[in-house]
Amino acid sequence: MRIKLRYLDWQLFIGVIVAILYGLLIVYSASQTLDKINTKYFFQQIIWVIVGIILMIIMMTIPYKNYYAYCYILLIITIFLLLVPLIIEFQGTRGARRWIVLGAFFFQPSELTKIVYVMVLARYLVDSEVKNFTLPDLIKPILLTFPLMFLIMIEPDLGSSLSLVAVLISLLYWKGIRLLYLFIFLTPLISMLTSFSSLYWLIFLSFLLIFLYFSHINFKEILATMTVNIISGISFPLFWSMLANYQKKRITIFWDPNIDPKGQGWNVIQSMVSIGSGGFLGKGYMQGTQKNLGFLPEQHTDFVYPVIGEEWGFIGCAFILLIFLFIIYRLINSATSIRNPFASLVVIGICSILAFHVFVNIGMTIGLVPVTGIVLPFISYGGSSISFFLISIGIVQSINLSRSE
Amino acid sequence: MAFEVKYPRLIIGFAVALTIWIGLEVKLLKIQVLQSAEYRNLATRQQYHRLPQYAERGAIFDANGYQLALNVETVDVVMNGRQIKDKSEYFRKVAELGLDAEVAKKKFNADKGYIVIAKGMPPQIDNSIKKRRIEGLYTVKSSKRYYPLGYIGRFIIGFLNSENNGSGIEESCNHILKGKDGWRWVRFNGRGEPFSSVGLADQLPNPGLNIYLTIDKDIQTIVEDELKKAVEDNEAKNAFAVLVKVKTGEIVSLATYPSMSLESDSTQQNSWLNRPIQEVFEPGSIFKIFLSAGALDKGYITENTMINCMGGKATFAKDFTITDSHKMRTSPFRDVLIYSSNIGTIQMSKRVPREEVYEIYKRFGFGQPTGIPLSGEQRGYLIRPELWSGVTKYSMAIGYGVSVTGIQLVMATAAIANKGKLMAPILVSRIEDNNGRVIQSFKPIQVRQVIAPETSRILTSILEDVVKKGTGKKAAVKETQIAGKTSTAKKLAKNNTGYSNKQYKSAFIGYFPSKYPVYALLVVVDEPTGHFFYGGDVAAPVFGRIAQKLLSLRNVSEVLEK
Repeated sequence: MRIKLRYLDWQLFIGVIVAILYGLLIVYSASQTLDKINTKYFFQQIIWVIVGIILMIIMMTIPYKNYYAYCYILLIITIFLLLVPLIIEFQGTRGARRWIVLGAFFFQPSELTKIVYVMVLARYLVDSEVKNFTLPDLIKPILLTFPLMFLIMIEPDLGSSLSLVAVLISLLYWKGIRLLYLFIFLTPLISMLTSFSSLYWLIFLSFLLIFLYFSHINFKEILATMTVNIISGISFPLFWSMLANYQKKRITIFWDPNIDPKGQGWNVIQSMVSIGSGGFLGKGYMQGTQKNLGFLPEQHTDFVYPVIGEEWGFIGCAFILLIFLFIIYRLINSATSIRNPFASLVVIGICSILAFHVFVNIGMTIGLVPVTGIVLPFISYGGSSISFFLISIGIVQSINLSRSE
Repeated sequence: MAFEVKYPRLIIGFAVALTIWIGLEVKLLKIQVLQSAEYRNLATRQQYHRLPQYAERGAIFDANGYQLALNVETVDVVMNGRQIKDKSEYFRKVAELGLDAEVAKKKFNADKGYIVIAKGMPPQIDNSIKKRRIEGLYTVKSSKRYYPLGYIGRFIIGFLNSENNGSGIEESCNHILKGKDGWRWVRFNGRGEPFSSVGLADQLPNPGLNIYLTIDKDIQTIVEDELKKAVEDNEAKNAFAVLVKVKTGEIVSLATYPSMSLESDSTQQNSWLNRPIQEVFEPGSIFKIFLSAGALDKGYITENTMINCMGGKATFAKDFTITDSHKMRTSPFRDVLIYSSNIGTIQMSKRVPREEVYEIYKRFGFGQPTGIPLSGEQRGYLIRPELWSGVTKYSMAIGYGVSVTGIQLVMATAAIANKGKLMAPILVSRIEDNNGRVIQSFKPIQVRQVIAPETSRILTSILEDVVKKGTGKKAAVKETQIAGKTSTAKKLAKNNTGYSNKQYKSAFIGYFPSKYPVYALLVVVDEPTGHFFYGGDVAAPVFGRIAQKLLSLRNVSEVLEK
């Protein structure tokens, strides 16, 4: 097969390469404090980047139609891989069952799950050939999503688990679901949030009922919506009580980091202090005092953005955000220009995962969203993350290349 | 299979992404531009801490440069609450080090990196901590006051507690000793540990100044030993003594037994009383010297004026009957003093007008503080003549109805020895800085000429006879001639029924060598309950022994030979 390089999205490549190079600079700085210099992270990251680029090129050569064909088999393999760490306890993972360990190689199945989920959902939405979505059409996608979310969540990886919801909403939207149904789809989430206060929940349910009555949908749909809302409203507090303490803490701390300024809140406070103290121009590369004195926890992985904020200031922060906006724009652009609905949905799925990672990671470092342990794409240190995002870009590029046919 | 996304849907989709993006940018602008100063401040506050640098406290030396109070290096043990993972394990290790784990448990705070759990520990504990690799436990240098002499001289040196309460020189000269604390800016790391010095805007501490006292620690030791012996031999409540150099007013020894507890937080307030300067009492017979000196000086009497001592018993007013233990008829004034006749002294006082009497006492310094640089000096009480009753002059003449301090008595007696010149007491001879540079030195100050040198000579010859043949015979030593006077003052009974016949203050005051006096010494023993209670039996031998031992000291005998 001859690859016609002019169909590649070179602008996307440039955006990604800039992000990765910038990321290497940051990881180099983040791996050094005044009392500990750990350049190991930097050199490992270079290896991950090289491995990732090779994987990306391999992915570019695989026609996307294979994903359409084999995605269900991939799903079964993925579920199996997700179960492996739950059954076998690997050494060196500090109790979390997130990794499959093969020698020195740590593999995180939840990253793979995200891509496979995108493909399976895209194929289902394409196959179902639904012209006008109604509520019953939502049942199957939800039945696909929730078990996967559950498997990822118990690993535990709350962030990746929630990213599936972002994918689901994006794909439904892209496929053309009515906005009314999208809203109805989101109502159980509102029920969950309000369910902690029965008064607010009942007020919400009443307004929902009135809204549904005037929105010209049939009785069955109203009944189904109300049922789902009532079930989620009752079950969510139960589910909440099942969460691990640290997961609960992460979410409650978000509302007020000062509840626990030494523990979970510490991260957010120190992150905001780092970013805020960077000011407009930053303290200079390698000059971040918060970073140098070790006030930032996990400053090479989850909290890498504060290092940018402290050393490069608002300029650096805005620059990285601009690159991500550009990458998102290029992905949406690809999704728009591709005629194949499966391919288009896959690109949008990848785009939504990326956007979710960017917004949640940066949002948590500036106190806008709860700390969920999600890394910054292309920037944060970590093999699984770098490989996953480069593989995703490879898939998008292979889809771009298919336009030549 | 053609697929085309509706244009508005594309716009809305991108708009949602853009809105979130703008939201992040706005928040970034808010914290990085609008609130940047605030966050920079927060960062600075958690990264930089101003650690106090305590000034080294000045030392206290005796007259010969022997250290009476100095600092020894110690360490404070600090707990870092943020670093403690396993609390029970941690406190077990703390207890293993011999530290109080209960205190540490009580002070534990998981948010604080700097919690002092033990102060003034020996510096070796630092090694033990490092050897055991206890995370979240470290030491910082500090120092502790050390008094090499222990109990000796406690009342002079005193102490100072952390609330700046105390006694002695430590308290009264604290402003000189303490110096000025400084500070040091230190960077702290994320674990809450001091990480590195900043080296900017530090303020070095100014060490305190050293104080040299006039006290001689060898003599002080002799005096305190003798007081202890006196209290034990006579089963007395307590005893005190003051020794001064008559020419300069330098205090060589200022002693009280029992001594103050070494613990600065002692609750026994009574034992804190620095008796020679803080306790007032009715002096009894030794007070006869001063009116005698005045009367001789003004010419109301001569040493040979014949005084009617009325056979040992006389009633001067209603309820004012006086007896003498040594019964005398009409005798020359010399003998009145030598045998300490109360009646004779009262008869003599009749010749001096009351304003004159008051003036004489005042000129000797009674009723006023001497100005010794220690806190809490009492002034005593000298009743103004317009308030006197008919017998006040008589009772004062024999040392009752007046209250004085030991230091006042010694300074007044030293004035008689010093050809009539009253000197101000000197306790601090000089103040030096750390490099031995004298900042201030204190020269002898003559307060006034109280009596003429000739009067002084006459009085000395009488007081010599007190020791040679009078009530003070037991003070005599073969090495030198002592001039002095005994006193056996009845104390006021506790139940306000007048004077007690059982409780006495036995005292001896005098100076030596009488031909060219160098030292004046007062010894007071409170409530002797043994075989003897007369000043001549209880206090005079103590005086003699102190004088004897003093003269055997090499540096003292050199002084005397000059």
